[in-house]
Amino acid sequence: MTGLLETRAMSSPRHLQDGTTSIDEDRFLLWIDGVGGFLLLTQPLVTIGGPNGADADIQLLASLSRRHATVHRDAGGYLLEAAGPARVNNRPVVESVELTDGAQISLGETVRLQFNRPTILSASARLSFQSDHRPTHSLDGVILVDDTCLIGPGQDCHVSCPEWTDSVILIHRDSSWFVRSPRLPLCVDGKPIRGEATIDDGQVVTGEDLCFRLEPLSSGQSPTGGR
Amino acid sequence: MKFTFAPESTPLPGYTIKRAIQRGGFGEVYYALTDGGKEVALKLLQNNPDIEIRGTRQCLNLKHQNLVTIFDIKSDDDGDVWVVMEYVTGQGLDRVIAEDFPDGMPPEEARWWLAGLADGVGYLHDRGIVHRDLKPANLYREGGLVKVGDIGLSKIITPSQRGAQTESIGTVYYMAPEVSRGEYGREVDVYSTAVVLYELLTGRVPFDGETTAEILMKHLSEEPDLSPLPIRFRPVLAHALNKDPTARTPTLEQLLKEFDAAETRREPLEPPPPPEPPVAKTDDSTANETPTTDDVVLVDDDAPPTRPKTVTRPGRPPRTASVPYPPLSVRPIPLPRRMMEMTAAMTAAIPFTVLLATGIWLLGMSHDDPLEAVAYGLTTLMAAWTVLCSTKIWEGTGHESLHLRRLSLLCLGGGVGAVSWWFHQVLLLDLPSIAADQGSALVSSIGSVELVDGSQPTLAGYVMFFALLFGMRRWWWHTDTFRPRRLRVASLVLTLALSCLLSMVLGFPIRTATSWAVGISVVVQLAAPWISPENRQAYMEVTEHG
Repeated sequence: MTGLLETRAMSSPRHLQDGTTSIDEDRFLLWIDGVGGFLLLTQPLVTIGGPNGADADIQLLASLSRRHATVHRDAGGYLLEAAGPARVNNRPVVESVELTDGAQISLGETVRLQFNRPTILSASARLSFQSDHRPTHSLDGVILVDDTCLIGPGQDCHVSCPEWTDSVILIHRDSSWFVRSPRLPLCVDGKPIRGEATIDDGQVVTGEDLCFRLEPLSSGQSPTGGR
Repeated sequence: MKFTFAPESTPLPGYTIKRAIQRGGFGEVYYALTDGGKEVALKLLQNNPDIEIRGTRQCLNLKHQNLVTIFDIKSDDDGDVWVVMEYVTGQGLDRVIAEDFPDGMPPEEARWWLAGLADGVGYLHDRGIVHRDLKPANLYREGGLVKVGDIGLSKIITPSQRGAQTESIGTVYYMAPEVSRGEYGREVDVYSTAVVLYELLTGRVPFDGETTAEILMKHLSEEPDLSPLPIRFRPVLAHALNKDPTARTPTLEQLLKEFDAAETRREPLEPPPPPEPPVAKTDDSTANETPTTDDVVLVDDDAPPTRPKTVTRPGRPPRTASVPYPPLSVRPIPLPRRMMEMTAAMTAAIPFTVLLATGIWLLGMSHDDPLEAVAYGLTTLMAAWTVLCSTKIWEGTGHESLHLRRLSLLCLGGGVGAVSWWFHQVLLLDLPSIAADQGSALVSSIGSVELVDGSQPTLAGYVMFFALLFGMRRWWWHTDTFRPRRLRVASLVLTLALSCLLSMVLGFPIRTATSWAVGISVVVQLAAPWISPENRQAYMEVTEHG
């Protein structure tokens, strides 16, 4: 069957390694072959902070306070609230500022992030790392997911996959994840799907030229720090 | 892109694959986490494992900040071999070029990459290992450092193993010509680095083609087109891209040195404006001929006091600012080449003189008698030959001996004056009467020696005129192969002005004086060989290599 990976050692999902960790319901990792790793956050309020303490959603190895800044999503768009020194588009943030597509965010002395909202069809947005500060592991970006996350070759995608032939949509609905593609035939854990399929349990999604996995983040083994 | 292992596979105990990174020439590379949470790159060796395992084992314990660290080599249950390596977050140089600098990056940026590469690979060379696969896709920027990856291809250099490896491995764009003969000395890495440097500066590789074979053939036989490069870097790249490994830049350290030397030789941001020749000031008329080139080495010994004040004139670029080989540049010229250029110039001077003398006679400018044209031609030719002989012998020897040159020209000029006087005596010719041309001389005698006898200059007058005409001009500027232009009007005007002044001071007939001065200046400049700035590099290579 076309589109199937010749996978030799596809083991069962290992995200629940030991019984003591619990699944985080609004933080996920998206690993895409040939592209990178991304943190997907579904909550409307996301905190950014440094490594001291453990309560920021995006915990960077950087000289930031515990909850340095907060990004809010509401009906009107995104707001950045700063508790520590911060600038947006080179202007100091006093209390809060609205984030527009392409906004350059500076936190503290050295951390630089870029905010993008690639498409008006979705309220989801992307934070990309401009300085070399990362969470404890090397992620390539953070997606602030409202209800959908578009992955594909176009400029309007939240995750850019230049070599893909078409887009795939991840849908977050009722605390569950679904995948579908308008044109690409997809398989979930090797089984062809028609329309939407759920991928809540870390299933591997494959297509003719693509392969990715959405991994629920458990608090105990978080590559992003953890709360 | 399909990969063998899906996310969350665990082919090696203790490592969980999170995603595939890429597929290289030797196999697939994955991003994986150890059970402890350390991120690593896992490389599955597929195509040439024996070669790569051997090379990788040699490099297993090498430590350098510019090299991607190899942690371990492991086998899985299927017998496949994995290399566990440092995971590099940063972008590959291939993507940096494609995304940020499709038309080449600024030299400072390119230098940063070159320096890191030279440091890391220089360390490998020092330990007897050749990388053999240097290319932008193997170079990364990580936390302010260049990282050289894929040192698995590296190979031990020993004299016996040179040439033993016959397989052609590596990306052909960056492959040194001798690789096709199975030679893998460290010069291979210098060549590849030079190709990378070329690409950094221009955004494209020097040899491109439709097929692998076509590109290989170009590496073997075609000279690289250096014209897209800034002029100052062309000699550097020509040296490092030499097809002959023994004639190539020997080490990466040397390549970096040559790059830096070329970079510091660059033109200043505000070059001095080209001087206007002030004809009236002729106490040393040559001083204002200071070239507009950038290099202070060029400035004549007597130039600085009278050098025009530097006034920035926007919108007027320096005419010769980026010429790498200005006049007076010190360069070795073999004796046969020197003699050849000299005789060629002297031969070329004959037709130019004949044309000039004939033209002057036909125009009837002060020479009604054909014999006068002959005398004019003979004097001009003799003077031109004297200038060409002496300056061509001096060419390329630098500027330490400029006073000596002036003194020599002064003496030679005196001799030319004496012989010219003798011509005129033999041919029974009189110069145009001085009284008819101008007022009396300012200096009519030196001590008891008269310079003017009635209306004609004496032997002493001839000698003084030519001696000063020769001694007060920098004639080597007229004849240097690397002069700014073949016929430089400024030089001509200054010579003309000097002859006017001399004729007034010495009481020499002004029309004769000026026609000789102009004649000598024109003939010398037209006859002396001249190489255009863009061809000087090639000319230098030809002269240096015989």
